[in-house]
Amino acid sequence: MLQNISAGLSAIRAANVGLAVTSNNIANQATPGFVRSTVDLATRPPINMHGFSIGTGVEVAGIRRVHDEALDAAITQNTSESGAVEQQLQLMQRLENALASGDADLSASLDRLFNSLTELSVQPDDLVRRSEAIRAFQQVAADFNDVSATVDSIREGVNEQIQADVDQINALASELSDVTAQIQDANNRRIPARDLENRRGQLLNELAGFIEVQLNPKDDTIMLAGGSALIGGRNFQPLEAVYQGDRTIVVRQGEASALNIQGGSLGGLMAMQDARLVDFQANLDTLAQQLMISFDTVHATGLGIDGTVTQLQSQRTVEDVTLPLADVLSLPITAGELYLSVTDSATNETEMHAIAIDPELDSLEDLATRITTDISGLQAIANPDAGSLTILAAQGLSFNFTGSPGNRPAGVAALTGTSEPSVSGLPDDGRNRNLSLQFSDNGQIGVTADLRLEVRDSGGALLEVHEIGAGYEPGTPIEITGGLSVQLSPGTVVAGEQVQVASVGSPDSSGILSALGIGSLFTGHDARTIQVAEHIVDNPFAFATSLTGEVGDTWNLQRMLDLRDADLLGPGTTLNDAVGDLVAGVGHEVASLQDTAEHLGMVGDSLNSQRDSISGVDVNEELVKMLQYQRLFQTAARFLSTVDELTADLLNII
Amino acid sequence: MLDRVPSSYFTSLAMQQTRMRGASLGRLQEQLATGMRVNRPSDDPATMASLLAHQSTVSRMESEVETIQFAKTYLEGGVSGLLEVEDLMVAVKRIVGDSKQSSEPDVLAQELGHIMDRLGEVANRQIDGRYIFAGIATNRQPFELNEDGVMEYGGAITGTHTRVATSINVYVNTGGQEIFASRDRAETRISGTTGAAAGSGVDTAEQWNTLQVRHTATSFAAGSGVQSGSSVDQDSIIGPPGAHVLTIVNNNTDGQSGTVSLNGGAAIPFTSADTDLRLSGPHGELLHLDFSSLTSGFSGTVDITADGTMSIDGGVTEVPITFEDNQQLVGPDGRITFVDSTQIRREGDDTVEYVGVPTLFETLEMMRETLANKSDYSETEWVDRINHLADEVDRHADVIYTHIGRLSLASENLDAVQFRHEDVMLQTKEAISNLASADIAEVVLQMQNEQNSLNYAYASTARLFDTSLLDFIR
Repeated sequence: MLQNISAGLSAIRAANVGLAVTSNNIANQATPGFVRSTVDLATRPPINMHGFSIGTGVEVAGIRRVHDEALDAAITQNTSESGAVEQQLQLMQRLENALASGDADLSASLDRLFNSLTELSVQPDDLVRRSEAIRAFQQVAADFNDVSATVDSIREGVNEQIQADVDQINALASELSDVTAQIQDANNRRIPARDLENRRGQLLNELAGFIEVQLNPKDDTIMLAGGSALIGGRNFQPLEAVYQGDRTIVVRQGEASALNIQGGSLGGLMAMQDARLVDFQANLDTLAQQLMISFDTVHATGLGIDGTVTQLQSQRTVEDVTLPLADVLSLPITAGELYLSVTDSATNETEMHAIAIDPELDSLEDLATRITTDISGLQAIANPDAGSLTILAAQGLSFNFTGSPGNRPAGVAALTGTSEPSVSGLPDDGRNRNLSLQFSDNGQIGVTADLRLEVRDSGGALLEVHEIGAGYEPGTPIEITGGLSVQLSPGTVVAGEQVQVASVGSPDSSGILSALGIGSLFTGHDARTIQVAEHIVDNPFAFATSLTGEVGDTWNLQRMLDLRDADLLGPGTTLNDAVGDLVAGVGHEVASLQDTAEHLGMVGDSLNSQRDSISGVDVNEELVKMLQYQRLFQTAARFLSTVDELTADLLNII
Repeated sequence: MLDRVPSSYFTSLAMQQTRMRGASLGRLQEQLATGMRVNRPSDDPATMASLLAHQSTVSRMESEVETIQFAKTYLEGGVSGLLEVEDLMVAVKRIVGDSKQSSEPDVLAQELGHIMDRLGEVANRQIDGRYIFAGIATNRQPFELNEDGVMEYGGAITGTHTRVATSINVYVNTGGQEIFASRDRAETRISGTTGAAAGSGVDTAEQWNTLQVRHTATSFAAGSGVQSGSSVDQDSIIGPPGAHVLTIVNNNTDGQSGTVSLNGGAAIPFTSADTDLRLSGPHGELLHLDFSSLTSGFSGTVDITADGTMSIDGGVTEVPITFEDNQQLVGPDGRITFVDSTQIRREGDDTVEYVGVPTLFETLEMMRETLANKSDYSETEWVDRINHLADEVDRHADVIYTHIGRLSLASENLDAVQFRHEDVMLQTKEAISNLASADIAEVVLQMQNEQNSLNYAYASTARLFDTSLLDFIR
């Protein structure tokens, strides 16, 4: 009889346990990450009674968390990847807004800039149009500044977020470490740790949102993607975010080297910091630099319409005036020549001088010395404190970098004939040529038959021959190679005598003017610092639209307009194309991140659905179980009551 | 398909659908509100790149159309000015025509003066305070009277040019020199009686000069005994040996008298007592002869050599005549004139006119002076000179017509560019619309679909939650 009571009792106990588990499942049906439990019932061992093996009831073999470890790991992985992508997406969308739909619409600003130059070309002396053009330049510069400021702001936000994420990861890891220790203690004491494991699962997923982690259930370690342990047993190795330089943060553990953080929002932040923002800023800087170099080169080799230049100071400075220029300039410079034209305002005669520059060897001081030494009437000063170069013309002289040869060729003074050659015009291409003009015979200009002017290149090769004897009207311009014209005054010439003419289409083949910002339109050296030179903003007539200084001269303006269609940023890539690429590039990245985020979201939804199908609480199912345990309890109670009645009947017999 | 579908699945599915449909509805609402399918680069990066390029094209063309309109203002101002000049040229030609019959050339000269004033006004015309015939020196009055009272060009040679399309440059103004002071030097014209002609060299002298040809010495071939008379300095013949020939016919009565003629002209009598006999040739050339040493009984011809000088600077520099085809003379301004002296046969003052060289102002000034000083010329000389100046006026008129044509053509080309730009703008805007504009009907339908889907999701979720075992547990 007693065994019957025992069996009934076991059923009541089992029903109690079942109801308790069910009630917990029902209570946690809305708890995120909750893993339902199920009660495993088993028959108790039989006893031998009267030669028969009789069952002794039921027992709770265990309470099991219903979950799939592989699925949990996949969800953790998905959480981590989603965290990284969403973090990047959010930041890239900020960049996208700043670039294309905010105030800084670079593409439109560049269009406005070139449009204003086109409109200025009709009325180059108009102050309003000049001011508009300068404002357009300022707007482009401001757009570069704004986009850079946005990048900086994002970067600062990223840095702050990295710090916050690291703090959050450490807090979560600390809690996770405690929970893991409790699980280990419970396991050691063979106490079920289902709720703790649930909590650990929740924390792990939460952590995965910040950083890619992986749980090794065999030894309860939680590993980072790079292979180092965040939590090893009961030990927790906190992360530390430290600045490396002014702007870059690295994450490390203790004194170890920087971790290669992947996944999670921290992984996303690190990817933004180390790659996306860096690449974007580099592209933006390249664009701004190319804009500055291109316009500065043209501007420096032109003339404003406010008179001649007697003094210029470099807008860009060097740290050390004694070091080679290549080592101290932020904008590119190559070996080449700089042509300076010096004009005597009394005689209006111009002399052109070429200064050779080797940036690998020459310092700013060397350059200053060379200008002062080689060019009479000019003084160049390299200021070691300011790191700048100042060029001063002597009283009565002015200078420019237009490559204008003046009208007096070199060597005229040495001619023994009475005819005097003069030069006019502008080079028709970007090439520099040193030409010699040689007389073929003794004779008289415009009189002697078969008298010719032979034009030779610097190597002595004969390029062209022009009749200057009978049939030539002295003083008539003769167009020669390179676009210049030569006029010969009446008089005699002597066979073999020659003069030299420099046809300079590229007055600064070294790039020194733009690199140092001499006569430049812009100041600054990248997208963050680009500005229109203050003296041009203050005086729009200093904007170098001409090559002659005449108010209606638009030759230099046309050279600026040429930049609109020039492949400044690679084959087939204009400034506008590059801005379009930059904008579309960010758009592509955002769209790609959106696609990835959407894909990961769908995968996550699918994984969570699968997880829910395994581990989720189905209330109806729990209610059925509840009814089942209720019935078990009720029948066991009824059985015990029956056994009790039988027992009472037996006792009444006594 | 899941084997086990817990109630939480319904919840998460409902939330997922709400999120997805909400996002989709948000995008559609934005498209409806803005009318644009592409509102940011990430909406369609490839399209956004095309959009930027198209928008840039439209912006550029709008600006270039505006520039064209400004440029046309200047070009049409130039054309208008030159049409006025054309009218003035017609008036000048009328004056030329009238002058040949007029008995009051002074009045015509005065009228021409007024025309010159109007011409000066046109040449210095401004638009918006900018001189339209000053080239790139738009702030400088291009034509001003110099110290000689002649209009002189002080503007620039080249004009201001603008760009109205890739590689299409248009000059919006012109240097006045090539319009009003154009040159097309032709062979120099020397008119007069000396026999001088233009040399083969290319002159540099401008406007006009007077070529002074002067006799310096006369000599006779040996044999006749004839010598120059005492008034030899009044001889006017010039020529190399044999160019002039003296023909002596002795009457053989005493061997000391007879007749003498020059170059086949009228013979006059002489005796050996004549020491300064004045003899004229058929062309008015003069010779003074001394017959005191005549070889008795000489009859026959005597070759004469008559030397002379030329000067083109008023006699300051006298160049011996060498009877060559390209003698060089230097004018008062240092400019050169080449003279063919091979046919110079008498002294005199010839007019040297440098054809194709005088500016329009100089031509008109010369014409005015010629009209005003008609009496200083012989009728033939005067007509000849007026005709020559009329030719110069015609040359300038041709230049004016050419420039009117050029400026008009430039203006027409700008019109064509403007029309083309407007077409391209229209097409590009259409392309932008096709690329970026939202198809409202399609968006509305999509929105309806999304709303329906969301409604179904909500309805099915609510319905599923309606079914619960709780309803059956008593």
